[in-house]
Amino acid sequence: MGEAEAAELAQHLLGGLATDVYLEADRIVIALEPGKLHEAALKLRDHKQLSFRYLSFAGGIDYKDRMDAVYILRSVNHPVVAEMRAQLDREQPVAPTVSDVWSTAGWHERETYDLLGIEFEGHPDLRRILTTSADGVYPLRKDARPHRQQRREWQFEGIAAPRRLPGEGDRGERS
Amino acid sequence: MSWGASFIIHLIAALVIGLAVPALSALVLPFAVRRLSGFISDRLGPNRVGPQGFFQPIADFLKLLLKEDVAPLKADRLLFRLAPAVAFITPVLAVTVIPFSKGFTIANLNVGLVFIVAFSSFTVLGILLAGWASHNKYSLLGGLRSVAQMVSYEVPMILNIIIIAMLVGSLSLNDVVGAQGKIWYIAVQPLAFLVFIIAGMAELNRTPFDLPEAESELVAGYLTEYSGMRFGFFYGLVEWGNASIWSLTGATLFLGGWRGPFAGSPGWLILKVLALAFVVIWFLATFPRLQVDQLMNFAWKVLIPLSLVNLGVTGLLIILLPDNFLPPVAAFSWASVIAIILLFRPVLRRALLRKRVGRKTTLALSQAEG
Amino acid sequence: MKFERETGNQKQETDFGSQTIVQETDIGRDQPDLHLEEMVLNMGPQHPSAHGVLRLVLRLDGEMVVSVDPSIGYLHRGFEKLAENRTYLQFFSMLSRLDYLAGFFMEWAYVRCIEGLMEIEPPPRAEYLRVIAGELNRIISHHMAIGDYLLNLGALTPVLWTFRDREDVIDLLELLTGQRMMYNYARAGGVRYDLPDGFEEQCRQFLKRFPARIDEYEELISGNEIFLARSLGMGVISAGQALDFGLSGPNLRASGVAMDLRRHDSYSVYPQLDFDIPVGVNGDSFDRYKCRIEELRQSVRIIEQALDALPGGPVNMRVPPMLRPPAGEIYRAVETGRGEWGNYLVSDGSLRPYRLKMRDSCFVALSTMPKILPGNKVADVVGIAGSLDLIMGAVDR
Repeated sequence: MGEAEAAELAQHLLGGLATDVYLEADRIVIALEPGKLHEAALKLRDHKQLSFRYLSFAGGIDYKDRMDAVYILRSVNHPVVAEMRAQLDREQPVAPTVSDVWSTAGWHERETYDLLGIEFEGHPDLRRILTTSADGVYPLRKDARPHRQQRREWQFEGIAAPRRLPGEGDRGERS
Repeated sequence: MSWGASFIIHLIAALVIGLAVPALSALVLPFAVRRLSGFISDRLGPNRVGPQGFFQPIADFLKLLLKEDVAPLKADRLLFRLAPAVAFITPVLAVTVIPFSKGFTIANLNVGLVFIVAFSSFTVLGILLAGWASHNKYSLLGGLRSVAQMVSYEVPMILNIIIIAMLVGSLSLNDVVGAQGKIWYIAVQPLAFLVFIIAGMAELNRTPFDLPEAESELVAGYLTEYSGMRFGFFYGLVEWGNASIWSLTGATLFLGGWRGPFAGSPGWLILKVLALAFVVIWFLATFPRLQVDQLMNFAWKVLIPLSLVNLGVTGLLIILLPDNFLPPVAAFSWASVIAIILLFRPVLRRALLRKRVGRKTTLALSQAEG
Repeated sequence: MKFERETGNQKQETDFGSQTIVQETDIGRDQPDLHLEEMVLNMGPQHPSAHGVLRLVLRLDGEMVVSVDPSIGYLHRGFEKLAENRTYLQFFSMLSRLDYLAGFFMEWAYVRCIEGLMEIEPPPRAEYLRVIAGELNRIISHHMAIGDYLLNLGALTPVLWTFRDREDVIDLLELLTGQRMMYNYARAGGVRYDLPDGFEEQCRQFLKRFPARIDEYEELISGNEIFLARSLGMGVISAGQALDFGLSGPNLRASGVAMDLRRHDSYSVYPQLDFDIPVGVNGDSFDRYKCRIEELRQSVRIIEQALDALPGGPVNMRVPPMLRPPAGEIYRAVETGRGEWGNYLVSDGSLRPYRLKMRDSCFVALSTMPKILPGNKVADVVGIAGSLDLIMGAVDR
């Protein structure tokens, strides 16, 4: 089964769930409303011919004006890669979890939450995984400046703060 | 000679020999380990310090002496410092009853075998103290494993020592060597020798039974928090001292002690000890480590029944044929060893593969198109 | 609880005690009455078999693992963010620092993404050279996996034997790419250098003697009953579970799923090469080990064929010195020694990647540990971790 055929099948299977199904750079892109992600994920996984039982990863992309949740699926029977994609609100990115559909999504969603700040509703254990950034700091967001935001004042009483070398600016001034 | 003078001479001899044997083994055996395991794993091993790297252990020893003696803040200081000394009792004292040549025994005890068995337990105490006092979870786990393991393997060890004592009819090590004038007991009781080697590896915490200091899971087990000379004590003097005590015991019990082709001398004993130590090193470089439950199963379900059967049959034969019991005992023992060697592999493999779906150790090769 | 057990003549209290315990932790235990206080053990981040800086927070009941919480990120260097701040070319030299034992695959996946966006095909000779470099890399990666797994089980010699032969392959890679570990060999539109003089000869010599070496490993390792007892039936992952967990590479194939991206995705010149995919049945540690051993043999076959079929011609094509792929999004993956390494590249048509998401198989393999480890012994934590072949450089990125 080729990609075009699979795309047609996916379109047929999802019906009104998907807002758009198209081919781009050797993969099928299935655009969805965030609310319909979970239902579509179940359908794609359990379909006999498509059988997207393997989730490559779940991640996200920050487009400055919106946030996309991206899921790369691989069919077990056919050399077909599909991508589920949902546009989220950038200020309050919330998506339903698919960790009950593919349990591998659990950690991928934790990572996405850690780096991009997408909240996955219903995730059993949504904690930071790679970084220990402060609350509200999501390093992979385009406007994130982790160095700046984590700068702290010298707190030790009785001990002089380290002197700056001539020409050395405040740490916050560097990019 | 008055009683006092004799006592002092014995004391000095005991101290000299008792300290020399562990010290020498701590210098020679680590060198042998490194070079031999280097040879087995196809590399050179240390060869820079002295001829063929022979002085490497001395260099290590000096380095350990110069290092700071660190004790963890929350450790039980007294026990932490006491533990290496307690463990060191075994190699120092156990060596006193070993006959080095005709008439050369520091203490010719009539219960020498019991003495060795009793004092070999001091290591367990030292290791448990070290594991407990270090205030470290790895150390604690290592210490607990060590106790469970050594207590379990002491049983088959003692059972096999009893078999030899029965053959000799005495508990004195001098008598054991004396009885091996015609034939060594390895030829009479190879089964007991086999169990002795396996149980000995466990007693010495050597691969494949080195769970107490399993470096890949428990970092260094009970040794984790030790540094400097205290570590050197454990690693060098206690472990390798125990290895040579075990080798000395094995050589005395099964390989005829100081007896040799031309004239009995300590030289033959040393050769036999080195041969047994070679077995230890060979195992060390070859085997992976067992798991805790497998270790216990092996002791209680395999070694102890085997030793008990051996003990029972040997005892029965000695009672039935009090005049000439060696040939039937040897026949039984050799037959069992051959049966074990032939059956062990297939039986174990079947037992292991039974829990799996595919009862093979080969894989299918798929040419499947995507 | 302890107090109750010590004064154990009051039956009701004792019963109550054991009941609560059963609810607390009833994994793999036959006798709930033998419950002891649980211990939390921080395995790592500095640990002899942590494969980098992995920290496992284990809750132990005696020697039994009750729960595992892998705590990662100690090696997090922010590669995905770094990629956004560097030009495409600048980022090449950083790629092999990810999975530092199989660095060429990272470069390969990256250039495949760029080539896909720019819609160029590298010349055939370059594809063959990539296959050769990749398979050599797979061999050293599996060497490390097998040796390290056995080291975790307490065997000293296998790791040294595999390292002895790994050295030969590293020499070959050094000849080919100029580097022993951080290759920086792949380029958009080809590879950096052509074959050096004498490479083919040296490589063929190695391929000739290597199968005998693999048999040697098997004699030392697979024939050892202690190893069998430690690996058969340990850390079993069924085929369905493996897919659900998202495992890939030998870990997935050992569970009985014949999915190999070299066939499944049929990228590069792999469709023209003849090789088998070893597939396990049980999905236990032994099958994972055995899959790697078999893949060593298949890699030898692949390299031999690639050397035979090596076409002439250029090894790279002219691309602009400042790479500027057109705007678009692409996901492409390669099969590394550890499974699927995928790059999701978003380009906005500028000099720098807009977003580069890296999909790593070790991250996924590590995420299975909380599910497969409980009920095993402490010793099997490192054993199973070794059989899953984790590289923290790739997990933490």
